[in-house]
Amino acid sequence: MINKLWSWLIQAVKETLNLAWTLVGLVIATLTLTGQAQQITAIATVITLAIWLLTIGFRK
Amino acid sequence: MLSTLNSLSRITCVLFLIAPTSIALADHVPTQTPYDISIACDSSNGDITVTWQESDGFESSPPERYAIGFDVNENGTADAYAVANSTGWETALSYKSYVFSASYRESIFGNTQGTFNAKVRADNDTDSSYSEWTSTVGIACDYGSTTTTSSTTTSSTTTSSTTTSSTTTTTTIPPTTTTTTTLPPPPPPTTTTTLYVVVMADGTESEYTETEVNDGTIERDQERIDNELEFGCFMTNAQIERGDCIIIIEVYEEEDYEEEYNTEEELFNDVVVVDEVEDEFIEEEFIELSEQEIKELEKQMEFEVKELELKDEIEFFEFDNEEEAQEFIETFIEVEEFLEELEEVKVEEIVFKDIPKDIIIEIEDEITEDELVKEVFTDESEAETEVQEQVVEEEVELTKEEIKVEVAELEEVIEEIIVIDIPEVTEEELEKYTEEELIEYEEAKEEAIEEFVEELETEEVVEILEEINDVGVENLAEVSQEVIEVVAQVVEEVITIAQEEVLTEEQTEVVAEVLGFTETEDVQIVAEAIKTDENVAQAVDEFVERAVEFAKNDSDQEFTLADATTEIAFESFVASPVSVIIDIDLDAINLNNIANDMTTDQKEKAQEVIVPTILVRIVSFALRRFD
Repeated sequence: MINKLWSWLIQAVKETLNLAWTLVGLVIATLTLTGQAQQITAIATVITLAIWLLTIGFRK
Repeated sequence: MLSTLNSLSRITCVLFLIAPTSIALADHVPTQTPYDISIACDSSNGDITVTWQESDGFESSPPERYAIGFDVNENGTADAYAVANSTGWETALSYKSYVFSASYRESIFGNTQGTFNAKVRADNDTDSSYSEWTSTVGIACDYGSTTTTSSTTTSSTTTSSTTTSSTTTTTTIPPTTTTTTTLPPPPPPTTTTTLYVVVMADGTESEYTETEVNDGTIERDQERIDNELEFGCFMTNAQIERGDCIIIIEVYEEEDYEEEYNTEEELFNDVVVVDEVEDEFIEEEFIELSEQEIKELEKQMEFEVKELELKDEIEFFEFDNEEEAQEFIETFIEVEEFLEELEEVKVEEIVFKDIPKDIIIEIEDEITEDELVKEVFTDESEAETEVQEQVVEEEVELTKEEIKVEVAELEEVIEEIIVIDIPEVTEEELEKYTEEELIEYEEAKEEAIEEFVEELETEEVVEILEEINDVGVENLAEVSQEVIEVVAQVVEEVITIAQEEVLTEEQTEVVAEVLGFTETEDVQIVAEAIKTDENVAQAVDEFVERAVEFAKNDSDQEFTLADATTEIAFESFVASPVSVIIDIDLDAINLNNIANDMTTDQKEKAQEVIVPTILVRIVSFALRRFD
């Protein structure tokens, strides 16, 4: 179980690194926005990233 | 098997994450529809009570009142009339009710017979947010005759069982119908009620009780009668103002009108002129006009007026056909409008005593296609207009000397208006101060400036801002630190003023120019945004200081409030990255007007970032496919 978790963690880091440029863009976008648009972009970014990482195995 | 289970668990995990999102969003509709509507009849006095349950309170725009639509018919609709209660949302999931008295219904429908249908809607006028209507409930409650509540219960149960010997037994219970008819109610209680006979404006007489006289029922009834005559809606003024009545504009079709009333030919051609013109009703068409249609109609009317005006002049010209004549009138109107626009252009004469070397004048010659196409007609012949060159933009950078003059003016204005009540301290004395004393002095000075600026009149604040515009925020580095502090406080103050009162168009333009806005509406947006967005509030507070710092870097770019906001957002993100996620107020999010709380400048800056991000992502996906 720990091995699986560890391997998933490594995969998650790899995937996050693959998304680095996109994430940088989204973070800058979030910081450039104000008000509701900022909040929604922040939530959407985090939720999507979480889903993306949780579905690594499923997508492969 | 294991991988299938693994996949299944992951899918479950994803669904688990997605499911609450939609529920959370569903709960946060702007204004929720009232729950659990019911209707009841009080046979003792003929009152009909409509009851509904208030929402759970998870909504952005809680009801300020409830609209109750009602009608009497057998179709189950309640669209003809509407009333509103006086109280809005008070307690989550509590019940509210509205009573339709028998006399009230009688005053509207003439009697209390038939099925009374009602439905409810939650309204928030402040945010212009209205819920859906509830389902319609109905009840028959004829006061004075028989109150009949009939309920029909039809139940049908079918059970089946299969035995091992393959025989099937089916038992069917026939539908049972139960009709309950209550006996006629006891006669109305013999209470003494003072009745007033009121003669309405249209001559009809109505009876009212003392309570109804006191609660304004007579006035409301009179309003209903008046509005029915005027708009065809039996509604009070309040209902009309609220927009419950669809007011129909009556439009005659022009062709019909011409056909019916074009008696000109008849009069001239006929030998006998008939005095009595046949009086026929024209079929009226009721059309609801859109804004576009109204504009077209106005244009058509303008055209016809001009046609009449030019009628005599047109006779001087010979046109081959009607189209050519129409074209002439259209062109005439266009030329007139163009000349009016030209008159509005102010011509300012700029006199340079010494022409400085570093003046940069950017002139863009913009000639629109329409202007080139425009033709004018002289008395003798047709001729094309001369091409009009329009100077669109003229930016003049101030020389150092001019900046000094403007700075001196700004300081003078500030000195005239602002008197800070703190003891004057020379530079030598300041140097002798300890750190604590310095901080104390700065705080006292800041407080004194703040207090004084708060008491300034709007005109005085705008006057200072005008001077700031003359100098330019980017040139404020030339002024003293004290003046910068005052200017910063003034900018902050004007936004506070914009929250409390409506600035004139000119004042708004001045404020917009200081903050670097292209749209004047942005001033109001910022005034609202600082209430909810800490970054924007801090940006307004620190805008001037940051603009001065930015100008010191000799950047050619303009520094606007959007830049200050982004800088502060970045700084707070670096200080606490998690707070961007944690400090989110889900209740405040309204998907209907997302980005309405952003200034145009901020939107443009965000667009510059978001669009490339998405494009990069798309390109990377595409490249991955080719790999």
